[in-house]
Amino acid sequence: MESVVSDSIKGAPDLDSQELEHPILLMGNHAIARGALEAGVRVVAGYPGTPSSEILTSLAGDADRHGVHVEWSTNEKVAYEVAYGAALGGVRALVTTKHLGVNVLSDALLVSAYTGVNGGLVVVTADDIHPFSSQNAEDTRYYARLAKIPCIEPTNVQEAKDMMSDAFRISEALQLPVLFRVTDRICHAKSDATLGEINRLDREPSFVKDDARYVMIAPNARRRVSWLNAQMDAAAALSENYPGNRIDMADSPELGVIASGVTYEHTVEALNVLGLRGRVSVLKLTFTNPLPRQMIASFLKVHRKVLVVEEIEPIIEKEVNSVAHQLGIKSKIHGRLDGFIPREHELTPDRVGSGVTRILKLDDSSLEMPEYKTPEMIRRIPNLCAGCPHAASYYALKQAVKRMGGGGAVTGDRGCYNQGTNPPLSAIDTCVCMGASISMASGLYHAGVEGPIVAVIGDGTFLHNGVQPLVNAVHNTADITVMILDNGWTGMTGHQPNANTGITATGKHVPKVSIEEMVRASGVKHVQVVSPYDVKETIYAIVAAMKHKGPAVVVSRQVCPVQDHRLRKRAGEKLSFTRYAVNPERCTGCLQCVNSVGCPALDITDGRIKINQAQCIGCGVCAQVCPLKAIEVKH
Amino acid sequence: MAFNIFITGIGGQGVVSAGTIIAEAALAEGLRIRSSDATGLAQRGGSVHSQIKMGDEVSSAILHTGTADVILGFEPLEASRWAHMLKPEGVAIVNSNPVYPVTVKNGMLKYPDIEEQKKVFKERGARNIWLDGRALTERLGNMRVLNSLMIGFTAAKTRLPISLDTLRRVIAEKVPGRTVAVNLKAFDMGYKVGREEP
Repeated sequence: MESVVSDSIKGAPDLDSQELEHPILLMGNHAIARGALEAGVRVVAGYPGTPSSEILTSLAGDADRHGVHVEWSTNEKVAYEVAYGAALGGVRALVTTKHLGVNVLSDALLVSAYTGVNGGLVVVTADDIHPFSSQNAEDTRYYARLAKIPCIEPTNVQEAKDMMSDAFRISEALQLPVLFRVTDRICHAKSDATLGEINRLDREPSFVKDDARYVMIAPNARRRVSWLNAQMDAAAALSENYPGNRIDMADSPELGVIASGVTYEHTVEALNVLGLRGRVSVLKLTFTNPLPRQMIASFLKVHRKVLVVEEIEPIIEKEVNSVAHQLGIKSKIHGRLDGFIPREHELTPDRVGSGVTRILKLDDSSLEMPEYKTPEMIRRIPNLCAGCPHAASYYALKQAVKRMGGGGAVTGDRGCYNQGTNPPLSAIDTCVCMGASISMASGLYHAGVEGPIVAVIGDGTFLHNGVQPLVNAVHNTADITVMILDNGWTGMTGHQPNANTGITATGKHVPKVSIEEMVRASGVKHVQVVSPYDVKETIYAIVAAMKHKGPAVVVSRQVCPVQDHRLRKRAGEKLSFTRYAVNPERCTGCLQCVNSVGCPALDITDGRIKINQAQCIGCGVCAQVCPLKAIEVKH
Repeated sequence: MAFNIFITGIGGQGVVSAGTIIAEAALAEGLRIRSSDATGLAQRGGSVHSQIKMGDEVSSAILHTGTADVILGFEPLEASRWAHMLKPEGVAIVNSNPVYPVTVKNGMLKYPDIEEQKKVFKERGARNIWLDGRALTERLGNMRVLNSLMIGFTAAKTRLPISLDTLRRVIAEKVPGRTVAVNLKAFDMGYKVGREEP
């Protein structure tokens, strides 16, 4: 079902709001965007990824008015390098990404810490730590340690806004990029928040040549690593004195909780619900790399028992252990390492509260923790939307594989189309990281796996990191078929434009990159463009590509109907669709249509198929799939 | 004072919009807000929920289990799934029209029996009130106003600490201009049905 209702709500707070006196309802990602404007950011670059996307989308809407350059970059590494370049030029720059994008940009990040920056450079990483909609649950705070840069973890929406200014100041004080780490419960949380003034730092951008600092050849790098280590010593002093690191002492403390980021708020909530505020102290940490080791030591000294809560790896917990060991403090330290906090997944007030009560119960058996039974209900699997061209592409692909005698493998990629793993499509065999479909297909081919080896990748993902794998497949003669599912938008993350859309983040029309020309320029000899709504033609094209000796590409092109209809409606167009209906005299209820494409517009009442006219967009794929021609155009 | 609502349903039903309206209205009443939305795969008919805390002092955008004063279920299965969030003295308000996942349509899975689902709430000791949202919104000729209807019903049935005037004003501000009238009608109808029912 299309989310017309939620899209039509005028709920997004205006980033331009002049309401400074009274709190407004602010979404976390908008708070981060507003915080960047208040800090005087000039260049913003990012790549869409849940839960980070709305930070850049909301900034893009106001970019021109505020004189800020905002762009969706081709991938996160490119985004980082654009922002880093801007920061070398003396202005404040922001990068937005989800956690997996930090892996992509890390190559540049680690070296940029050696040169340092001039204008403040902040990387907002929105970590999907559960994960709710990602391939893995990753703790990017490790990168702050790896790159040796400061890390800030706000605990709520208000701090997410306010600490953006802090992050830029810290970045400039230390000349280092700063990792600003948030999670879903900041990004997609809403809270009352008080705004500050939007700041235009009217700085004169300049680049002062300094090859010993910016040209990272080994002799220069050997000198800069000493500089970097000294900067991190200075950062440790800032962390000790940062007001966002704070101790809330209980009246009669039996336990001390050390909490960072949103887990601080979960801790307060749990202590309130369980009535334990007076018995449990809390050390709140928001400047978490480097950690304030002296503050931690003073907290350990007055708490015989300590629980460390953080998301998602026991990074602080291990460092707390090291502080205790170094100073010979005998406090018992609990957390994820000894199972008092669950090893995986997002923390909640329940999970923190359970850890707290389990520790207190060791001395106080009277403490009762209420028990809650979670109902067991069937899972609602997400599906591709009504009329989704990806579903049609998958149907054609499965038919083509069947015609080629089956076997082989379908390597998938990242985007809406990875819903193709769900029944009834069950069409892809792998999904790992951006662009991996093509390189993994090459590997399976070189391993000698029998049968058609097919990579399936979307247009945005192809441009993100799929081009080099395709060049590689040609260069190293992998006989694979690549299906590029081109719907014109980066759909999964909320329909952001990419270089194939012909529109920039701020809505400017620009020339489109041609996917088929890029494919041909890579050296692919067999390229065919089809519409997946023409089922037969698509099957033929895929079979021909599979039969072709050498890498072959089928571009399955059909604009995402959800976005297309939304834009056309916004432009005042009255949409009309070809109407289909099931002929009850022909339909035997074999369910082939449901099982082939799984379109949500196909309803079943008393064993009979009915087309839900409110959802159907008239793509006609089910009519082509029906073996009895029972789905007909309604006149 | 604290009041917690857990709204749940599937993508496209207006769950997040309802959450935003309630949160904005509570803010207008001078309450502090913590709220979070889980919309991961909303556009693909996935489960969606929005949790809202309002009060003088609030922390954490996630409700502690067993602390929701109200569960507002836009779809039966999605409401029952979260029954454990409800206070024993809380109330679940559930739209009784199921939306079947494709795995139910093709017979892979069985949709849980509605009577069994009601039991889940009874086991928690909580009240559950079911209403036929489809029949009511059909009377208004617009199926997309379920959220305003549900908010009106909630205002009648619970101790939601927000005045009717504030709710009406925020709905009028937040929904698209051409749908203000029908949304307010839906809100009033929800409130009226809620008052009339025992």
